[in-house]
Amino acid sequence: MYSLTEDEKDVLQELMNVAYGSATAVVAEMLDAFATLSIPKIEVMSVNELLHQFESLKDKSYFFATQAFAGEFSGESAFFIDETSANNLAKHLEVDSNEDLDDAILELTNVLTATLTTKLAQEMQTQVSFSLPNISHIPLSEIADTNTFQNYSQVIVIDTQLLFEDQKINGEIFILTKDASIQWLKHKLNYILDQLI
Amino acid sequence: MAQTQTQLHFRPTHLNESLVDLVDNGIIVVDNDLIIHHYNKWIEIQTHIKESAVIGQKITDLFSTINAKILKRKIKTTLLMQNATYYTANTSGYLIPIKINQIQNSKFEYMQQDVSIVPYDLEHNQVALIITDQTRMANTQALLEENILEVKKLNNALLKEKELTQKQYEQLLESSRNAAMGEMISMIAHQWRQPLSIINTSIGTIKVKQELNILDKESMDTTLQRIETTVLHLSETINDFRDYFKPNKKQTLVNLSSLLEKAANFLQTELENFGIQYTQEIDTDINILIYKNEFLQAILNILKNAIDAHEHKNLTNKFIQVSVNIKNKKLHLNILDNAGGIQADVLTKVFEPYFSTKSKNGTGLGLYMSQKIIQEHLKGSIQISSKDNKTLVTITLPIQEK
Repeated sequence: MYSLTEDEKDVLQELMNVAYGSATAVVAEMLDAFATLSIPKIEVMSVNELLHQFESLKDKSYFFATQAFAGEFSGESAFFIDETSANNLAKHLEVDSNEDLDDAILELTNVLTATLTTKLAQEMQTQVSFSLPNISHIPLSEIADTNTFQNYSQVIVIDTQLLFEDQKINGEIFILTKDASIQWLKHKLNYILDQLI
Repeated sequence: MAQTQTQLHFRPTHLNESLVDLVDNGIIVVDNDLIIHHYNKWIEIQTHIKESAVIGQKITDLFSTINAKILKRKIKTTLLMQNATYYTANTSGYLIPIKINQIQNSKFEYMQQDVSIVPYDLEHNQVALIITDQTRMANTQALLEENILEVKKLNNALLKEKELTQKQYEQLLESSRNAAMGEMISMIAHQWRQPLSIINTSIGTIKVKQELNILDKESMDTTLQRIETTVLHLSETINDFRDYFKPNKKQTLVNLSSLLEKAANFLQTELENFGIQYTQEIDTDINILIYKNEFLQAILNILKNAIDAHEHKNLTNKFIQVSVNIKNKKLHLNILDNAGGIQADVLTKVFEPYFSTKSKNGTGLGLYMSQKIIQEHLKGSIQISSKDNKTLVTITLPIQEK
């Protein structure tokens, strides 16, 4: 079992704060609107607990996109945006086909994943590369059955809310990383901690 | 800093543009105004357009299907975050329209493409569009989706079928209840025939004696007494049958020997009429927890079959023997008759619904329902075998002795 100490969590939180600051700027620029991202919540949990957390999202109809990232720090991001928000996003970007809306959601996923993880990786002196994002139209109730999540036994969950108040768009992104990457991350965080003292 | 011998020999090669022409990807360099700055060999070949003809042109003028607004947004984002943005074949299909002439498995008219938009020259706001042919993958995906759809359709059909089967089963259950009712009435009729004839005779005797004026009080009392006893017996028969033909809601502890005796008792008249010797060897100590009446119904069906099989046989020693043995915490109830046995091809069908060898009186539900009851209500099993003109039915039940 992997877990993060309070100190490790603090450092990670600090690094994430920097990362989500730059993510906010890019997303705002991309959508040409004023965006806020909530301060990320960081937790280590089992996949089961994570799926349980997704449960709470089930009462609304959601679009669900994922994107994998690789490198010393590797994992996957999961982005949820509810139908109303997605429609508002479509209106805001003036896209008219479902394909273009999917594309816009993927772009949002990509921007969030890339800016958050790239920045985080930079802070930890490493680099990440990204796979293409992927959108799922499966009902959320079936997510527990998808193989994507079964591979992750223990995950670090970085949970951030994205909010465009004027456009009424909000989404939630989870950055998930597991086993070897958690070990690597702990090692890095401790290195940074030592530097601080 | 001095370089080592190895480093001198293996300096990183400076990759030139010819390598860009060797890769199996399309590479187009454009700026944030969508002006083309590079157009590699692969994309030249695929689009039948030479690089020299497109440099300096807007990519959207070249390919009118491209949505300029979306592409501009993606380029802007790429430059801003200095990270790739994408078009995916799954969502967008393709960016550059390239007709394909694939023969096999082709679901698409145009090459399906994943496109990565990567920062190339930040100073000049240039990005590279790296195009990967994903047609094969997309075909596989499309086939898969078709198959999934098909499976879902089949699954739905199956569910409907199941529903229908359930309805049919309920109808079957209803028919079998009616059949059991019919059986019961026929058994009552058999059992009533004798007592009714006693009453009839008694009344006749009284009438005759009265005519002849020889009716005394004593013979009147005796006759009335006999009639009363017989009527009581008739009424008991009705109660017995009624009790035993109501389905049980709860399992009760039942003495197996008494239950079998009761079953034989119900069929007493027919056993006697056809000259069948019924014997049972069951330890009177055996009590089992069971849905009594359901079990009795199953037993009656089996005994009735044995009796019916004997009906037209000309044997001198007709018998039905019931015995019990307990093995491995299981109770085996054996019902053996010598009414000629069952042919192998018939034996395989006896548990099928509506299968009957009886010309007109058989509903074909007896053994089917017996099996259902034993498997589903009593969690046991039933086997039937035939050898040397004998038929053996074995009911196996888990023991829940109390």
